[in-house]
Amino acid sequence: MDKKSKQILKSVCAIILCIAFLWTGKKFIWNQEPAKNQMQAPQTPPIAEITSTTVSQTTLYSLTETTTTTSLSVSDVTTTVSDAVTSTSVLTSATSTTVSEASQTNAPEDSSVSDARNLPKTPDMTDAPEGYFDDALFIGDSRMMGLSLWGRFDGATYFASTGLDTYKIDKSKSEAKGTKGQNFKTVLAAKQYKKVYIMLGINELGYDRNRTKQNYMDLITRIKGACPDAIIYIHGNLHVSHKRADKDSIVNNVQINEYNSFLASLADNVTTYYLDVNPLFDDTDGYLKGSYTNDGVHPYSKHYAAWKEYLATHAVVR
Amino acid sequence: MVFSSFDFLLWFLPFCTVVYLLARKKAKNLCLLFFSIVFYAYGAMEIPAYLYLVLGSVVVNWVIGILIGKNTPGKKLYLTIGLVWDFGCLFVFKYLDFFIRQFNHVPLVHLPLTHLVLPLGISFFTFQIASYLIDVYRGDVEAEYDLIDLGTYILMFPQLIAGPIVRFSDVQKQLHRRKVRQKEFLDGIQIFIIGLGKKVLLANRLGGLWDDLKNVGYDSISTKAAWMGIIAYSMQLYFDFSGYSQMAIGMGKMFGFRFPKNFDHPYLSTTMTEFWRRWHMTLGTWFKEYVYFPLGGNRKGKGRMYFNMFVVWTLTGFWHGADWNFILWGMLLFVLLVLEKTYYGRFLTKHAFFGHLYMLFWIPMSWLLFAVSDLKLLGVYLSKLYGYGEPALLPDDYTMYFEIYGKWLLIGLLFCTALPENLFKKIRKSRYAPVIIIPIMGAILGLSFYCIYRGMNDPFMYFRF
Repeated sequence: MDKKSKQILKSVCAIILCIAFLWTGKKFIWNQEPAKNQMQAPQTPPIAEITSTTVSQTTLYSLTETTTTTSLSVSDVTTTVSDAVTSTSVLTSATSTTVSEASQTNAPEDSSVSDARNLPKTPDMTDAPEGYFDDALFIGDSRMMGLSLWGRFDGATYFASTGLDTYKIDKSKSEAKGTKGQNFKTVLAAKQYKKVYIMLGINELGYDRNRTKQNYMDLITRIKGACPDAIIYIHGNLHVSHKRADKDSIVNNVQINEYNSFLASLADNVTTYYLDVNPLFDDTDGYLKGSYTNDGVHPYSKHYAAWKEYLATHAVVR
Repeated sequence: MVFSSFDFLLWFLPFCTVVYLLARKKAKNLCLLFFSIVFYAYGAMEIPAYLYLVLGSVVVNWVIGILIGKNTPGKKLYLTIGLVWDFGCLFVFKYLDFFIRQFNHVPLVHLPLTHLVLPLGISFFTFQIASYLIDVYRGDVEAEYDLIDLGTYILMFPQLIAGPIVRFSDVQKQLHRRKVRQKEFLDGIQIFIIGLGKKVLLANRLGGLWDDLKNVGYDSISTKAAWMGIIAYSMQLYFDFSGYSQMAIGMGKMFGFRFPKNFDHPYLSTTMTEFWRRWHMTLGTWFKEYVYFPLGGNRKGKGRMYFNMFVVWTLTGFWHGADWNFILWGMLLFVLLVLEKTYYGRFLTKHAFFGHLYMLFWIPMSWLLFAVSDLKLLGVYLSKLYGYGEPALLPDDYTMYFEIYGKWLLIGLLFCTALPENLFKKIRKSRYAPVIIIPIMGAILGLSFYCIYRGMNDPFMYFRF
């Protein structure tokens, strides 16, 4: 046999081997259908793991991990969702009706600023008088960063940084103008704030939910301790876009709504109020409008004006 | 599995390297091929069919290569079949939806889109296989009878997904006989680390600015921020792509291959013509060898030459992506190259100062067409660059961006020049080379690992809000 025939023979053997190999591989690896639309993340990932998942969270995320999580969590979701329905406050149920009204009109973008005024409010909410926000503290993640930049109240104090959550609030340094580099303790002690606005939660959706909720309540207790006269405004977390929600088992609107309804339940409408600006940005299905965002999480900067207008028209004046 | 991920850096590459070094000489190609298939399978995890497609494609091209190599009268037919198959795959997966969308503009036509996901690296390996078939047809190389060697050439994981586009003649000898020498192995590691640093430490940092602007919305930014953004994007693209190529070249060297150079400080060019001789050089060579010259190059008169250039640059644009902005981008390059060829190219080369000034403008401008696929958004961005768009929401937003990204822009600027590389070459020749180089390499590697660990490695996948 000459050299070429030998090589061809060898190659054919290689093909056969390869097919056999792939066939067995298919049987063992690929037969497990990749799970789509997972509802819930693993309940208790250790904190360190979240930071490292950012590394491996590519489109090619490992199969095994996703398959194991779904089987666990479906029952969890059904219970939490029904919880959510019962615990929703009057205010949020009112908003959900306006969501559909507002978006059905298919209004041009600019009108969301005027819509902001008409979102539901508690009886004691009115327009904020001049200087209302001078003794206000805003606490939050990157979306609050956005508000501090593009919907800024001059005179207010902002403690915001990208990725902020209740777990690392004391380890984080503010990235916002005016408080840059300061930690939370310093900012909180700097002034007797009369209003405290919070939007936190999206970065900790993957953690143990009960612990997260406890953290949030602790944070509020702590703020009340430091600023006894303050009115606390709890923001419901902004929704994410349809596209973004579909590809994420943790950061999606099912999770956000579940957590938001807990936040709404914290409101006593005396010292603590719940605010939901989602209707300003949502489409009819309750997703952040695709045309309002590039990454599916952060609204374009021009839309923060509507949020600002909402806050200016939803103030409790004492 | 991208090169700048822990899966690759901590598991795949070390394991593969060790097995490869331990493998007997005759088994080295098989080993590389095996790991390349694993690499591709990992990438095609969600759509296993793509793995079969790629493997099947290798077998098809192996058979056709042999048939062409027999030099029978039918070889032209075989070549046609081979090219139709290869470019047919590329067309279906990359361009079909684009064409369907264009057809759907015709009234009463309503074809469904296929929504096919692009198989990993298909643009690159299609060009490699095509070069092999054409070279065999021309008699420049002999057909490869050993499927494992051919498969290794096509699927070799270092260059599989992002080039350089290695021609078969470049590596044929090494495929059959190569030696892994200690010095080259160590050189390869160094090149790899430098490439990794470019990608992780420079490209990804600079990419942050471009991402920020995208998220903020082009219509809200200031003119200065717009210019900063497009300059940052230009640098990101360069460090990203050249870093990736360098990693490929470095790994190739570790395995005993010499891949062709892909970037030669393109941003130092004085004309667009020169730029494209120094940017993605293997792609330029491919188009020259397999499109421009076969069409007659510049030997069939001026008119024909312009036509040939037009074809080459339309295709180059289209190769980069199936969208109008890429075609527009190719057209822009064509126009610039023609203008340079006929009018001012020689002047710019002679007066380097004006050449650099000229390129300083056209490099970011051309990449803008490349970066923004939505033509409406492109218009918005252009209006921002020239200051006739809507007023910025924050007129001084550029100071904020400069605070965050200024240092990276300056460092990036430095690394666009040849200075760091020349310095590095000098150090390597000096007596103290190991004393200096080892800590430098360690630092780059350590910092890169740190950045990847912090989840800052890939600007497109960050998810901290």
